[in-house]
Amino acid sequence: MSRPVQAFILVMLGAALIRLGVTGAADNYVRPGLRPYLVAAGLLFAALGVIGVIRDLRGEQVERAAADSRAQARIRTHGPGALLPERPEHDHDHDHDHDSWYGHGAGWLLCLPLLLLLVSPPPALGSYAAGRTDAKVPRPAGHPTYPPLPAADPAPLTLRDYAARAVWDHGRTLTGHRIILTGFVAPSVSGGDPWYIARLHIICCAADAQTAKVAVLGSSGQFPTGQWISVTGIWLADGQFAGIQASAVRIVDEPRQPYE
Amino acid sequence: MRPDYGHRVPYPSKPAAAESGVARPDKLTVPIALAGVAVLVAAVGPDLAAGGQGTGPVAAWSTVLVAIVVQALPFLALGVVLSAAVTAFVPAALWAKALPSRPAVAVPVGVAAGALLPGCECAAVPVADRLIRQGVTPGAAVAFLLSAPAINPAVLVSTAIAFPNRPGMVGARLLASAVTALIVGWCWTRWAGSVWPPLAARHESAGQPRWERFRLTAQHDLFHGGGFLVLGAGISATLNVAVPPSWTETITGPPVLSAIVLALLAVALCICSEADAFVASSLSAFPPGAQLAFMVVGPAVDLKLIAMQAGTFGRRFVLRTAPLAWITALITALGAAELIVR
Repeated sequence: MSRPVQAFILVMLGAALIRLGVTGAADNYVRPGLRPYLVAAGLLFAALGVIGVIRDLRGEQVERAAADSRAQARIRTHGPGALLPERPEHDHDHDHDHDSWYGHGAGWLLCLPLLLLLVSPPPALGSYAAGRTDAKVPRPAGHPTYPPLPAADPAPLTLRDYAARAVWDHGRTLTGHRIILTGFVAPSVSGGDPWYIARLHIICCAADAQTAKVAVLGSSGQFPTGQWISVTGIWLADGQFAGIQASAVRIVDEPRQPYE
Repeated sequence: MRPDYGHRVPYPSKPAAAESGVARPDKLTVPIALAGVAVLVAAVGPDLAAGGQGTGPVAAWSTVLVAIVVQALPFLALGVVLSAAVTAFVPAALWAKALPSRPAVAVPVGVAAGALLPGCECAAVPVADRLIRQGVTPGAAVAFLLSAPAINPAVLVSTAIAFPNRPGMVGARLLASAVTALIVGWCWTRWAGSVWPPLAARHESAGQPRWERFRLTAQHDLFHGGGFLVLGAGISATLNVAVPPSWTETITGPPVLSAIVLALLAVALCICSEADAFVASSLSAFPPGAQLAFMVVGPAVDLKLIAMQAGTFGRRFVLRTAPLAWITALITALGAAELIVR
């Protein structure tokens, strides 16, 4: 990869990062707190690239002019055949330049995520990832405290919080409340009742996504897998699993932040 | 007088000029064409915020790939800025003065220096490479490479948050990671050059203005590190999609076996070192020693790092360092868990 091409890819990479950070599309891939850093890195890459393009193009003209005048001078002093022995040597220099500067072809690999982002940006992880785990609720780290629910009726909770309260706090804080959960429809493991509302939780990026799943009972509604919904209902004791007795299931838009 | 080149050799000046006339504008047309495509795609391309389509494994694969790369790029940016600054602005003589002259003593200094860099693995690779090029003893640079992502303050704080009821975890992680970096660094000092391939200081082409050197170094390291970052992210994404997440739950057995399982998982997952403590604590079915092994191995050896190190230091470096660091990290983690986390 020649240096001007590198510089152009840098500009595009920088533009893509800035766009990810500014529009919030980065929330599909990384935690929201990373957005300012994405913009900063994007600005750095774009600046490096723009300066690189300008300098390389200008340097190329200067270099070409210098090479031409050197060649002319050599032809004048050594005759028309003078350039012949110089050429292999020049090629050698060029190869050496390749080694030290352009590196392996590995740099081209950076175009893969860039093209994915530009041509077909991958969606946030969803029902496919959620469908790969069972509905068992992992034990939360440490001894978390479960403060009383917000006073609102129905009280909004994250799926992860709801599942932890339901299984590891035996629903103590959930009884006597109507609760509203927002997530997407995940298939049931066995294929029959119940089906699940699910949401993914990320810490750093989508590579560490963890699934929270809550079984929805008492709703006869048929929703396609992956459909974003909100479920209003009351807590249902279900042993190792978290369940909700639904009184209403509504179709909602995908939230701006797909992960919890 | 015109020498008789005969018909064997074409008249040189014309073909040479013609050839260069074709070859040189090529160099310009490629970037100009790319710029056109870039502007076109950026203007009419799909709206990023709308998200893509698809729910299958291919979509999940590309999401994980893009996620790993996007989240690593700011840290790689920090790393290349540091590495370029080391190359362009720090005179090589300074390292000779600042570091102890005996390589074996320089290794702990490298470990301590690593504790100050608040970055991920991706930042440490280009910095360590440039340090070696500036003449820093390879053992110290390798120790820095291993300690920088593992024991910096941000990582220790996130570990403390992830294990609120096991305060010993932070100390155990610090101890195990530092000992791992020390041992591997000393191994390099001991065997570099005789058994292992030397990581010799390579002289930079000096003579350019400093900012120009800064810019070119940053650009080079970014493409170099970035390319291998994508390679590692692709392999990790493949494993992420191909291996069912429940397989870790099926492993039951003695603590050593479960530690080996999590140490392998850490290599495959490529989770950044500031997040791995949360993932480790969520693997609550495993004993603390195994969780610690996950956190000590991850920043030292993972697929993303292996790819980046292979690209930067060569395949022979990785073939020796990665297994050594993996086994050392596993043993020190189990030892530290025995000592501290009870």
